[in-house]
Amino acid sequence: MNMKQSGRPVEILLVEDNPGDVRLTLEALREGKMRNNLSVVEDGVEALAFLCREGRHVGAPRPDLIFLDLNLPKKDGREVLAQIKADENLKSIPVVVLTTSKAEEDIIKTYNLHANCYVTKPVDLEQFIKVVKLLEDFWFTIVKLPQG
Amino acid sequence: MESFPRLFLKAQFSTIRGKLASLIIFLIGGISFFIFIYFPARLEEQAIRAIAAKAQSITRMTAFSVSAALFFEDLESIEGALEGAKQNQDLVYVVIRAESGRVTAAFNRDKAEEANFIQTNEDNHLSGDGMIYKTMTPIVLNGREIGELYLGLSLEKLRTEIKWSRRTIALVSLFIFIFGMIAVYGISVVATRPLSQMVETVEQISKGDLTRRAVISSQDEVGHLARSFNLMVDNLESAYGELQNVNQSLEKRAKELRQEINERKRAEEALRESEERFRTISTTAKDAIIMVDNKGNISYWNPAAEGIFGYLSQEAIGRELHVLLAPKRYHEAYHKGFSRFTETGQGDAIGETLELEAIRKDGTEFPIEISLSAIKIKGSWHAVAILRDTTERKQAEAKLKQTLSKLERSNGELQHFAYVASHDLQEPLRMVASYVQLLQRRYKSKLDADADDFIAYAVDGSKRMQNLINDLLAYSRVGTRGKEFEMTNCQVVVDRALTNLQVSVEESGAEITREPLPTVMADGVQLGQLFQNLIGNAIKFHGDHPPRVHVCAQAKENEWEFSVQDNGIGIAPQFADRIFQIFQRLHTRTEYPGTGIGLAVSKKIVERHGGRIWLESELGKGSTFHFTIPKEMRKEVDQYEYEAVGQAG
Repeated sequence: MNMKQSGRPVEILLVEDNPGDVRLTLEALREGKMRNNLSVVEDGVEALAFLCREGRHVGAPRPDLIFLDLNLPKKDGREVLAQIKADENLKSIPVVVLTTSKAEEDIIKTYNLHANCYVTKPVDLEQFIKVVKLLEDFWFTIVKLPQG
Repeated sequence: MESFPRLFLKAQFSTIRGKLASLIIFLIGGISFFIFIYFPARLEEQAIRAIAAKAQSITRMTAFSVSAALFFEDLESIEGALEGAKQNQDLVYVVIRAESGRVTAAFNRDKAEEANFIQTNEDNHLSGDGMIYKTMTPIVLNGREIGELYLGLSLEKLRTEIKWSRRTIALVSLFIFIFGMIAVYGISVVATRPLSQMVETVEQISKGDLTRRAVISSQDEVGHLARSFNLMVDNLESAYGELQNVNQSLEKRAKELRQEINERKRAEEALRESEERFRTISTTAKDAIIMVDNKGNISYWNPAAEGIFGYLSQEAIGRELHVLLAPKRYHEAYHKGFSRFTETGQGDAIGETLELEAIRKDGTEFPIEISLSAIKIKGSWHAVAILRDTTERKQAEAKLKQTLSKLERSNGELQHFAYVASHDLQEPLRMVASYVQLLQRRYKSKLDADADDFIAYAVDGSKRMQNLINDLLAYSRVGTRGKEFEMTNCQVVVDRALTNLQVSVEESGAEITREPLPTVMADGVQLGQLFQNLIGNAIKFHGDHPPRVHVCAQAKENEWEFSVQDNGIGIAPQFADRIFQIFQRLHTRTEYPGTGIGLAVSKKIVERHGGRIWLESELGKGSTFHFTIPKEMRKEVDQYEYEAVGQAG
């Protein structure tokens, strides 16, 4: 079944150190149709702690989708991705790499680390909002994901 | 001038034949003359003597026969006695005179008178005209002289005979003379012919024809002479031959000597010149030129060496080179190397240029560059060192190296900067752009009209800024993100570019034609971008007519020349360079949109491939962009730039 039918708000984890981008993503999601809970962490270490419910993240929800930036403080987005995909419990969570980089090597590397998709943040706001909406729609209404 | 006869005589006497002939002719002449004179006289004398004897006998007989008759004066008997005498045909006259002087009887008394018979004595027997021989004898009877008998005999016959014999003798003499002459001539000719031949031969030989030989025509002295002469000529010839050989070898030797002398002169001249040259070079050289003898002592020290080391020539010459000039740390290596050098003339440093340190007179060390070479002088090895003070060069090198690395760094940094700046600028700019757009989205028409305008300008500016940054990034990526060159089919590349341009081609109704294009060594992505930029420009800057674009390539000697021709608005010549500069535009954004990056990127792509790009255009009549790609692709043109920034990015 997909998220739309479950009735509960979808859990999204945004790993992004730039508050401007955080807000933009939030604004874009707000314009979307889905009810969602957006959790935000600002670096890679925090992201993994959140996923493993460690430290102050004890009781954190298991996200249905992860938006992962690549350039992060403390722990790089690529390492976070690698650890998620190496973890039996976490690797089924779809990870959308959302970054400003258009670099070919980044694209190849992240797919090799089993990223579920790679999206370059559109520079234009309209485009950005459109993309976020499309992603939300795609992952929560079109795609079927395993339960829990 | 000599008279002709004398010349003739001279000619006659100038040869042996002439002399001999003259002598013989003279002798024969003399003999002939003698015969001619002597014999007739003798003949006459003998004839007269005979006549005289005859006359005497006739007179005696007649005198005896008449003696008795006279005595008796018997005239008849006397006449009779005379008759006997008259029998003689030569008798001219007979006169008998008595003692008294009276002429008793006479025969031809007239003639007797004419011949003056009385005047007849021992000394006078001839008549006045010499034609009568006169005799007189006394007529004796009984021992008593009784008269005298006179008798005259005609000499006419005698004289005629003498005259004839004289003529004969003269003829004979003349004959002898002539015959003698002829004989002499003949003999002389025959006798002297071999000699003349020999003379001719000798003349020929004397003129140099040694092949001539005398003809041996007899076994006499001349033949012998000829044989001896030939022998002599043989010897002469062989001697002459030898002489000529000797002469030739002498001449050859002389020639060689002359050559040798000339060569030596030239060599001396060359030596002098070379010495002069060496002196000039060594005294004017900026490099120190130092010679070292086989003991390691300085033997030559040029002015530049004085300047570089501070020692005058007289201070340096004779001193040990290494003690004077080399730092102590080199001494051990020097000793090892030098002892080997003095033995073999070889060494690690010989023929090499080394960079070492040396010590000046004031004790300061400084860097030098030294070239050593070996010279063998009188069997022992000497060394020539040419060295220069490289202090300034070292400093300059260091400075250059520093500058170069600085430049490399700054160039790299610049490239990196352009990339990073444009890359990193995008983040905050994206924020600005996004949030002004968000403002516009949320608050349009909710604030006043000014606010709407201001926000609109901010949105426009931020968008333009984003375009510029993107273009800058694209521009810097030509150097930093290029791919390696590989065989690239330009047909395929242009196809791809046209696919990307499909929308604008359709919108503008452009007609694009092209000729077959080659395969070249290139970065296919960049080449595609290049074609896309050029064809895109050709479509974009069209005039009133729909654009017509023609793409072609031409093979040149070492490169391909590509051309993209259009019928667009064209470019004034004064802008032909400017259009290739980054962000340079010739039109307002409202006329033709764009940042002005396309041609700058195109130029950078072409240059990275080692080619050139240029423009032929006339305002209003279209433009043709040409660019070249080398056939033999060298290593990437700006390898450094590529690598340095590639690592940094």
